[in-house]
Amino acid sequence: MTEPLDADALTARVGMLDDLARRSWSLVADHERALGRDPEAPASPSDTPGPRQRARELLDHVEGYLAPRARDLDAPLLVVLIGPTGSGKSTITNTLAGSLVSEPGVLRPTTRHAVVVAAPPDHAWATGADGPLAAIPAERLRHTSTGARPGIVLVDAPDIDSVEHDNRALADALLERSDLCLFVTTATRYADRVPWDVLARIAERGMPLLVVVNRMPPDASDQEHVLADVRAMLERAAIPVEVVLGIPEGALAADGPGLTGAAAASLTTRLDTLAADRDARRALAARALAGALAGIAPLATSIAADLETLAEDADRLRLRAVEDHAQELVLLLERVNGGDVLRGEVVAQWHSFVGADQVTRWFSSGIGRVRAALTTLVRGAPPAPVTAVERGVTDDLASLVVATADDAARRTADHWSADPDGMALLADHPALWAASPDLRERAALSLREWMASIASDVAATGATKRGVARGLSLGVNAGAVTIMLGVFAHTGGITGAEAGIAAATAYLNQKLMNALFGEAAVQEMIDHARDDLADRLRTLLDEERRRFDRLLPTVDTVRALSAELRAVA
Amino acid sequence: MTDASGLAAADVLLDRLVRAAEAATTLGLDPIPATEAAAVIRARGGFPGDLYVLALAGGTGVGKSSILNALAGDDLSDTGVQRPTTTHAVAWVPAAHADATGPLLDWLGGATVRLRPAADDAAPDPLAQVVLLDLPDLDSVAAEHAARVDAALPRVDAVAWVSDPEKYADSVLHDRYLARWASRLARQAFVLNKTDRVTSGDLPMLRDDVAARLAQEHLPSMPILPVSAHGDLDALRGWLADGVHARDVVRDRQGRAATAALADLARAAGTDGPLPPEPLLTADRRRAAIDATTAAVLDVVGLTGLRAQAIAATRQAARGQGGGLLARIRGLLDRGTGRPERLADPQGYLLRWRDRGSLVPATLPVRAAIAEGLAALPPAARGAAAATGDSDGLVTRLAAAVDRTVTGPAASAPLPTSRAWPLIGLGQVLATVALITGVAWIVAGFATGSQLPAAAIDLPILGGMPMPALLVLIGILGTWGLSWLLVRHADRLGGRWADRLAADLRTGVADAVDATALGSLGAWDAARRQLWQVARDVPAT
Repeated sequence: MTEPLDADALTARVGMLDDLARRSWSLVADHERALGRDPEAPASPSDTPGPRQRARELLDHVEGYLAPRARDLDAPLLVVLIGPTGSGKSTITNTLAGSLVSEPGVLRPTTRHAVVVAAPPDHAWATGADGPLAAIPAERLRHTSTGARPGIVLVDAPDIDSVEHDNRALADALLERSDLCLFVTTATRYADRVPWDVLARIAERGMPLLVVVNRMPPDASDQEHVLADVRAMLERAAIPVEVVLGIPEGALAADGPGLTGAAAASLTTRLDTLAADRDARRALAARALAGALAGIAPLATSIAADLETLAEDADRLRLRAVEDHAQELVLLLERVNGGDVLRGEVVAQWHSFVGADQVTRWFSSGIGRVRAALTTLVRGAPPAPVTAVERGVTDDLASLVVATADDAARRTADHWSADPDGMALLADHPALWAASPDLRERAALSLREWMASIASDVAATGATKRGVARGLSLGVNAGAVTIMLGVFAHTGGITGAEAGIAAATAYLNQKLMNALFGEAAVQEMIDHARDDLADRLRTLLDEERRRFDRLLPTVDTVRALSAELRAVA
Repeated sequence: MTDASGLAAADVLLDRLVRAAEAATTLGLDPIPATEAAAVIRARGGFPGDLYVLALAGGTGVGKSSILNALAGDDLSDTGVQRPTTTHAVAWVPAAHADATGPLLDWLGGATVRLRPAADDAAPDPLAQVVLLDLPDLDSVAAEHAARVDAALPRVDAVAWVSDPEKYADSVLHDRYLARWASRLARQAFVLNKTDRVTSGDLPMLRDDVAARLAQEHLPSMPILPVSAHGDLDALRGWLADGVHARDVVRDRQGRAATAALADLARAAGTDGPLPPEPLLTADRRRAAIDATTAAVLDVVGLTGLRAQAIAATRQAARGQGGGLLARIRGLLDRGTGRPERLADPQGYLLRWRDRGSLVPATLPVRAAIAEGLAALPPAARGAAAATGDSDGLVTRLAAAVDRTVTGPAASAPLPTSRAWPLIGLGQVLATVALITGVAWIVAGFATGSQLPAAAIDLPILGGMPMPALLVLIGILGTWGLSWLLVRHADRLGGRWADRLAADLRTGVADAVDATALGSLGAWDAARRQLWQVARDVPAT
């Protein structure tokens, strides 16, 4: 009896696998939920098993089999009878128990629960907190100790292929938890596709396997032909099997609940031998455990591949969102620099202030200055329309931000909808087809902060310049508006007849500000304000995009987990 | 080969499918279910309509071939213990139709043809109108068998689902095949073979269980025929000979397939309810969106500015006719600086509306309204609905609408003038003459050392006043007063003109927003209504 791993190493490995299995399952399950699917809902047996089933298999396998078995090789053996509906599992269970413990029936599927034939202490162990059946809901298990063999827990699983989908889920869960599998099929069924999915998993799991072909035709040469065909198929599929047994149709015992004949007897003997021989049980358990440990590699590799696909899909969707939002941001910045946010009225209002003589006099000299002083004396100084300009710019720019975010959201949602997963992710989030409802307020707030930061920039620059007194008497805020207008109008993006006003404004602005602060300082302030604005707009759109990101798994986590799974495999 | 009523029925179905495909395309849904159903109906119309193809479909080992052989009383199709057995389809064709069925069977994927000789006696042949097609299994490891079945099922006219007491609850049969095809077939039966393996007491229970299962899965009810290929086939024989006409089978089958395709599309569009689909926006919501958008568009067009321009232009025209000397000089100066083009040109001002801001913010109310409506739609239909709020498209359509209005008749109406202006002008001339005369009088008096007579006139309050001074006073007051009058009058006329134009603009833009900005939404709503109509076979209104 050679132990493949010493006890501590085994415990450590099982602990690590348990952690990986839990994380894989929770990741896959979270993603399923994001897709609007219930990860616990049983799948149709005729669907090819997918990432969800594999992640579940690993978790069931590690928690339900590896952990209890690693703790105790001498614990009772779990023998599962598994097979398609109508294959006669119940009759075989009854044969093995030597009494009617599982009710066979003519209606399909016959059993919706599993029958557990075990001596009371074995049953207590199996369903106890550390036992293999701990996680199986008690109402799905029927226990009987009639005909039980000490040291062996015999489980008659429900079918694997009927329309009752949760039968398959229970059968899969039981399969992952067992040491030995009796796979029951029939002469009609043996080439069905669905059971071969289960057989493939049994082989991958490295589980000792006995195949019983029930309901064999009466003719001996036909029987031989069928058995040979089954063996050939198993060989082609590379599924190692201890023995393939045939049971003829209608071989029911006249006096009991079970079957008669050599095949039935050899099955009974096999279990009796195991029950009688503690070492044989231990040897089988060790073989099953070794197989199970080896079988982790292919499953972990497939899950790693599943996770990589998941990460790739998530990446693809995420990049679509990034691209769409980036494109819209570019358009927004073009509009901003093109002066789209400067409404004619607002510009005109500012122009009439800047153009007014009491402002021009700051940079006039000689007779112009005298004239300006006189006009101011006569007309009085009008207040700078700072608030009006600020509000105008904030309103228009915030509207543009909302429209841009709206377009970006719609594009992204549209692109995502071309992908089945993307559409499923969005199904419960129709709001993602438009900008967030509170975006306008957030944009307005950010723009007000932007203006405030320009104002403090102006004040700070002014403090170091000789024109402080003049600058401050004009008003820091008016200076800030001048810089702000410089951001929009400086590039000369405004066209058409209104350009007269805008250009004049820009010109006067520049003259005014240059006179106050010096040309280089003004340019620096404008550049700084423009960069700051671009950053703020980018941040706003990034926040919008993150609504999409939140629907996707974190790609780094997924990739890291995938790498860990590959490493363990 | 089809008769008139059959042709008409097929044409009606085709028309519904084509309209559904159009509507689906407008809604951004995949029209393929409708176009494929239409293609099958068209193709089937080219093959004989006086016989129908009944496929035997089922899992491996349930005895499809055995049933066919038992019916024929001959080994037409291979049977055996090795699974799966049948690899190629076998067709059992009435000898009378041997030539005509060739192309039909090719279209169905091909089959080995076995001819059924006509009955010798004079009794009518119950199977004269049916071709039995034994298909490969649908559930074995041989994936190509299932593929063969999947290719044939959309095209066959009727199906006998063959199963047995062991397999009748199989997931593959129910989840993969019955769930998809039972609702698309008119003539079908559930053949429960191998009933010799259950006791006669269990048989009714088994039958009830099959029926209960079909009902539980919301499948259409169909005859359940317990048979035994090696014994009693009466149930199946009876069903095959129940006097059904091939033409009815083909027609009903196409009706079911088309209805199912239409129902699928309606479900995807969310128009599968009993009532016609609600428009995406309620009338109130639509009204509110139009009003908000109109207000925002007019804000960009600039009604305040328009009024100021109109008043300035009217003033200028008034000064031209009724202004005093100073006003005329000022007008000349203004013209030199280009001021009138900039500030007193309402029509030009309107045409330059694009310079005053972007229409993008004006699209927000419409888009917010559309976004609110999306939640009620199935995910697949949201994209096309959201696209009706496409920002570029909306802006383009809104801009075109504004352009139409600002170049329309209301905006090109001439600026107001008044007959009073020349009269005021005459008054101005007189006042100027009085002023000049008075000034000249005074100057001449100084120059001549007060030799000129200057009679004093007694005024009520001011007392005696010399004539020249009076003339000067009249000149100054007259000029000032008449100018004041002229400007007030011009302002009133110009203001009224601008108000009328603003009202016209408001209705013009509102109508344009309604018709163009929400235009694609209208097409979208209409497509949904159309899909609902064709799916429920409601005549178009």
